[in-house]
Amino acid sequence: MLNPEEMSGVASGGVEAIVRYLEEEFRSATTASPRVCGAVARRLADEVRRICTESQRIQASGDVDGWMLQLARHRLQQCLRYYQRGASRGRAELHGTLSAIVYRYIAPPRTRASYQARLTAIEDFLQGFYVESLNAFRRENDVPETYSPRVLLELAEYMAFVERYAKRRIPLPGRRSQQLAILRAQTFAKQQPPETSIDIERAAEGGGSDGDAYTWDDASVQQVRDVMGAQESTEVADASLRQRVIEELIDYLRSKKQEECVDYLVLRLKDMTTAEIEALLNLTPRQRDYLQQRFRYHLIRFALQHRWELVHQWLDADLGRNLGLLPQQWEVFWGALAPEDQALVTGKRSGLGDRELAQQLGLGLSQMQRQWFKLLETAWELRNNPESGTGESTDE
Amino acid sequence: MNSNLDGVPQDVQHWLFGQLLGEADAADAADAVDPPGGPMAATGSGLDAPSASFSQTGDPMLDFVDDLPVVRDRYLAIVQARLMAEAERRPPLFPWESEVQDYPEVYDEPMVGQVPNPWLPQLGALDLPTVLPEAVMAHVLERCQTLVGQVTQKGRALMEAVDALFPGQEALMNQMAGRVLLATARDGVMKKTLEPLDFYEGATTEQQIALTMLAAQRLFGSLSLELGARSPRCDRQWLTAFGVLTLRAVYDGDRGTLAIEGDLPCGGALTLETDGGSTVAQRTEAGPVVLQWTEARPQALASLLVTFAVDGDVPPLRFAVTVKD
Repeated sequence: MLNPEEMSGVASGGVEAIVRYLEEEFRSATTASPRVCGAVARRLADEVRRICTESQRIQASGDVDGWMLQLARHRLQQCLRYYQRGASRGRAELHGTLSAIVYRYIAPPRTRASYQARLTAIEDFLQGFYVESLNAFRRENDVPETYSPRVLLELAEYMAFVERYAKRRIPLPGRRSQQLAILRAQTFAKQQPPETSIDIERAAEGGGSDGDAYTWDDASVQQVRDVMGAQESTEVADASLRQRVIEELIDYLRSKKQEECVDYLVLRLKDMTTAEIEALLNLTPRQRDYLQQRFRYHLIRFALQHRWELVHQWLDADLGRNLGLLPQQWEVFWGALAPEDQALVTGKRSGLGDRELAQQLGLGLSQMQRQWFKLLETAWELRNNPESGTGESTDE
Repeated sequence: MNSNLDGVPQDVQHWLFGQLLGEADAADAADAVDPPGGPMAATGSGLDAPSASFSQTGDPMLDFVDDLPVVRDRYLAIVQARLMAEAERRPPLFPWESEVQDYPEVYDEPMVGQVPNPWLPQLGALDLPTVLPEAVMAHVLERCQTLVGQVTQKGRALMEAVDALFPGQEALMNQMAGRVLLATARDGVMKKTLEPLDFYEGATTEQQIALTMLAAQRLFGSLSLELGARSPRCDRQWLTAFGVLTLRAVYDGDRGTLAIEGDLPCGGALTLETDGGSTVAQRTEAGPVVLQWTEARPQALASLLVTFAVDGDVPPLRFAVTVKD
């Protein structure tokens, strides 16, 4: 471990300093021989140097050495992570990561391939992808043509490389980009996205539009963005209300320790079938059914109680719009309310905080919240079932 | 759970969920049922089909709702965990592996072949379309040494040289053996089989069989010395880790003798094994050694072994010497 003074020395010492730094880290964190530590350190340092040399943004930053150190540390940590997992678990983790990246794209779009079908397709695809990655590793690094990993650190290096290679961003027309593995998977699924009218092979070799002969992986891209403060137009969009609702719903579910409900929501948002959801979450149909019910329960509580204002605003059914009721519906609704309920609605309209309002109305806080919940339910039913606008009991 | 849920009718709950999922048609939101027509049927809200309610701009690349960081991260984590579990049950192999193997942490030695094989450099000089991995080369060399002079039928010899590398591929090996035997330098069939070829691990099984058989064929040639009345001299060279090994055999048909002279690149020995016994000639440093085979009659067979005086358990290099009619 280097102290801040030593670290700043590394950050200004050029490639050789990076090599020494990495080598020292590998020697202290692994039991690989000095030769292997040195070789891996040099290859990582060379990769980082190439990226920094060919990036106009980094060259313009005035702190190329600092950038090299940052990118090198990311690769060091990634490599050591695979090393610590070991040969078996490490490859399983890599395989899982790559599978997750390509899962959606491995079958042609607009078809609903089953989980098993995707699994098989992913197996086939990744076999070829590992070969391509090995080829790329040999080509880009100073190793013999027949090089293959023999000791654990070399294997970890290869696995980390495959992950970075898979995540390289390939520029597409229109200032967009996509990860290399996804483009490969789409080709594998015999589908080309309509935006791709360029030669993907050439792009992967590095014919980037801003002169980057090296394509970047996500972590590097994010590091540059964070520091440069650049706002790419493909990343920024106004957060829509629906996005906020989803984010807050997930927070709410997590606060209620309902991680499985979060999983269920996420997979539904990703348009998965019931069968896929059952496979991915390892549930029987019955368990999935219960989970679904549990999710809906919490969704309703979230929508009508916890964050009712946000949800109603999103649905254009806030108090300012009469809870989304048409004038004649509102008449029916208001007319059927008891005086204390009308007071509650008026109080809510005034914008008074819940505690104050409860005090004013002479109610307990949770009592008032339950009352409000019921009122919203009534309004909902009215709003969504216009024929039943008679104010009668809504018991099913 | 309390009864609050009952107050909101089922169809309203469905509608709300549908709104959340961005589906225009409330019925889709019901229970994520597979659409009619089965799991493979096309559906309006396809995985990558842009739908107005999914993204603000109708552009799938700018689709932010199902690609919110929190949603995307959780989705990737779910799929990664599931597929990692699958991979732990059935670990995938990397291109250079033929079975799940161990990667030593501590030692720097290669896992395959504990002692470096001094005979391998010759295989790098075989002029094959691509370099073969060391483990494969070592295996083919070992097999060829066992088979040379023993199996007379050339097709069978090629198959036996490589069959351990390709279990269950007898038919394909049969086919490739035939092609390799018929191939000449300008043979279009062989060229087509072997192109395009980047490197061994990326080749098809057919290409790998062809490559290893080509290597075996050339090795068989290099490992056998054939002499007779019409060809009384035979030279062989072998590139070793210590330098070039040269062998020269001279046959005297009248006397029925065969002289073998070897030029060793380092200390070692030549051993001739015949029906009548074995003779050895050795030296402690690089230089020439000479052997005599005094009963070299037509159809006689002998083995010529070259050993180097080095540390470790280094196998000898075995040549076959035959006297033709």
